[in-house]
Amino acid sequence: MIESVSVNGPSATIKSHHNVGGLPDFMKLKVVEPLNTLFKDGVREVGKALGISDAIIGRHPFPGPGLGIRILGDVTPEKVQTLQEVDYIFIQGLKDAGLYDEVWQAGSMLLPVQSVGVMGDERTYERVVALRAVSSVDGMTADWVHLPYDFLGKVSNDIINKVKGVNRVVYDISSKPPATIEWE
Amino acid sequence: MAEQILILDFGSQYTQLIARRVRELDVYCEIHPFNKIPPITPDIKGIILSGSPCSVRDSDSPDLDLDALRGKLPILGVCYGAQLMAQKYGGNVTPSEIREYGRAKISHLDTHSKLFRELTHDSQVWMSHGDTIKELPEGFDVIASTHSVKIAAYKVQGEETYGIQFHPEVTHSTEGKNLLRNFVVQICDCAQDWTSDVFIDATIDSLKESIGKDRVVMGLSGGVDSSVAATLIHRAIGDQLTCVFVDNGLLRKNEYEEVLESYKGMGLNVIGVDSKQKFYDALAGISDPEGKEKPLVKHLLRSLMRKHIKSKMSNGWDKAPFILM
Repeated sequence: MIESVSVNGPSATIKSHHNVGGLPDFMKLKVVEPLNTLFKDGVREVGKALGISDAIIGRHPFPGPGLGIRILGDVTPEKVQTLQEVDYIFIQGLKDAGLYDEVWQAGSMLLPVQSVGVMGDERTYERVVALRAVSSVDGMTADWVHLPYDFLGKVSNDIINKVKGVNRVVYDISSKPPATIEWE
Repeated sequence: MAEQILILDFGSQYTQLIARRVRELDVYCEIHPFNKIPPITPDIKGIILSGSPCSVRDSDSPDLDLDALRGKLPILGVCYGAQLMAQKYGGNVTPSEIREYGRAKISHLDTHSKLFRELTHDSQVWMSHGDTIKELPEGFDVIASTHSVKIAAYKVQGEETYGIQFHPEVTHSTEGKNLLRNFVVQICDCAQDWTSDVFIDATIDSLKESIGKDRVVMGLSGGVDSSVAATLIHRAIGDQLTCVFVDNGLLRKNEYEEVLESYKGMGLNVIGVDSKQKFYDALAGISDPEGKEKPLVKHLLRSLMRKHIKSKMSNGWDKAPFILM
């Protein structure tokens, strides 16, 4: 990847790429990497020229370890399922509102904290999720997206009403740098 | 071979942006570390020296053999690159009295210089430096100044060697793109023909040549990169390519089914592997992934995925000497 070329120089690497790794020793194989000289938006242009559908070309980047790094603390199938439901409501909401293509990357984080809530007459003590949406050209720098309050309100409402075990939604308003896009 | 601009990296946070700006001009470029300069082949049409967090005044600051490059092809030194050239040939670089970060206005501009073609006199530029070039070596001429930096740009007489103190690659340098275009197109004489179609044709040819009759196994992620890579390889070698898409249990909702379906629609030979439970088992009880255990988790994820590819490909695995991740 072109973003990683300069690690041999004095540039300090901020954070390792989730998708870039060497092969383990047991695989005595050769490697072909046809895209290692392109930036992300260059890859998209090539994809368009190859006739690949917009649905694939326009997909947000997604980290290699997947939701595993968006679940802070230990990972269990139950937590994965909770986060999948939250993520689905957020991403589908972006698509329905016509906001998906305006965002470089969006996702949700399941936080390792619980907070007090009230549902009906019951006091609840459930999970907090953080939503994150950033704009960027290449992932090197990113700014949080100023999503409309109405949209955030609706998504938050949907998540809390539909996803069992979540009673609080927060929105991440940090830029990269100094924060990174992912939390882990 | 496509003509290209060579960018020598001294570690600036902006080096990647230089590459991006050059690519946006439809000109191919590569970034190489200053201490690993590739052979200067005829396809290299010019060199850009990047900025750096280091100071040329430090004894162990990054250095290179400029004599081997100077005068042979156009050179543009940006910030540190400019200071390094000035210092090496007898100029004087000193700490700035006021460290200069942020926007500045050009107050003097040699509009006859090819580097500044069609640039305006009071152009806004982005400064980010703690050192300043106080004196230029003999044979170096000042071609631009700002109110606080007299030597904001210079040219070496009789050769296409330039140094600039500001950062044209940053968008806050409002005419920076024009400046880079002037360097790459007017001075280095690049043809601006490095387009997606050229890239695709060249890549398919080189894939055919490097892979030959071998087989390729490729792990797909469902993302843009692996989809584009798979399509390119498929165009080059057809059925010699086998793709594997693993459900590691950490995908988005419905993603496994949707992605598998869309790949099949693209004519790719894809094997889907559901190994959710193996991944959950491997992750069980690891409570602090963001701490020291994180590399372990990542390693587990990777190795499991690879073991899976291996087991699924056991038929003829030995005949698959290429892999792409």
